[in-house]
Amino acid sequence: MRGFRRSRHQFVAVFDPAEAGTLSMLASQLSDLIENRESEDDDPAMSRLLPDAYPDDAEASAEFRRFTADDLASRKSANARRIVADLAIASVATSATVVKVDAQAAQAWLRSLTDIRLTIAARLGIEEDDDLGAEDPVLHDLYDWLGFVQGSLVDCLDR
Amino acid sequence: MLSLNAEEFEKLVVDQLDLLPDEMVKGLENIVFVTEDRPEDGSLNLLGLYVGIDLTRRGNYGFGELPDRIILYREPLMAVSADLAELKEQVHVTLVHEIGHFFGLDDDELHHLGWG
Amino acid sequence: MSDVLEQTGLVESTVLDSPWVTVVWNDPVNLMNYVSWVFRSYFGFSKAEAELRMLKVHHDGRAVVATGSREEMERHVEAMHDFGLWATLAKADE
Repeated sequence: MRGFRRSRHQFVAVFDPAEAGTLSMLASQLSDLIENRESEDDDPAMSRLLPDAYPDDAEASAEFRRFTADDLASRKSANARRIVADLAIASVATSATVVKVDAQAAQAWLRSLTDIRLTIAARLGIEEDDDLGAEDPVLHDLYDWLGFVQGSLVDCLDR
Repeated sequence: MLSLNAEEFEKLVVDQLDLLPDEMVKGLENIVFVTEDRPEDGSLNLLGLYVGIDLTRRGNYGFGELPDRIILYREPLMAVSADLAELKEQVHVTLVHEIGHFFGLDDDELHHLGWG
Repeated sequence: MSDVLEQTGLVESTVLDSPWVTVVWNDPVNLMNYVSWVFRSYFGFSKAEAELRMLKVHHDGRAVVATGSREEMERHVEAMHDFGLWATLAKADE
């Protein structure tokens, strides 16, 4: 793909169908994961998406979670669905397609790209800076590629 | 009673795949379509399944060597089809559904695209 | 000083909103330019300040990004989680 570039008030990238389809699939899976989470969940991905606010105070953390987790989760899910919607046409195109993301959608993309990478990292078991994680070349490639996509979008916003 | 063997069923699925519009099939180069008799649990409830990267699934990661697969289950599909025409339709619908699932599209989006 | 306050029972009333801090922790996933951008756009830090704090997170493992009341810090933590950063809050003197 060609990374994001700024064009007036929009951010523009070019995705080929496989890229758009894959990102769309990942975003959709993230949304499903979040919406189907259980309250007593020990999924390392969910723990990282909705972390404890008080690491040394289980009660305060539980209280904080009671008040914030549902809203946070529904925002994360909505952000992921935004990526799916923005990529719907590019996913089924016959050749590379220009995808335009407006300023508001860019906020959703940035947050959701992070969430997807956090989830992949959790699945690969990447916990520390130098962890290599499980040997899964496909997933690692995706993880790196998503870093590129997100990085290019952040660069646009930095200008 | 509708009864196709594995080979006949596979041919039917391949035929249905060939009939799908290009726009739907492009972007699926890394997917393998396979047929099986029944799903793992032996039930007749599941008509089709996409197997590949699945972030909702915890557990053993590290078998990225397997290409993504869309599986169609012969016996469940026959069980919901009164005749050959209906079986072809069910196979078509299931293919579209699983492909849509791969792209992360929900029912509304599939409908909007005219896919079902 | 704290002993005196506790004895006189004034802790609760005089130190209503004892300062709390929001701490952002390092994680292996988040991109450095993303973290800098979050600090700039959400906290309003200058580019230089945001960069400094981001590097502190990266090298020291954590950095304080805000101080204030417990409620304010909880809002910041929630916002950080919204961005996918890992943040916690604690009393300023902890």
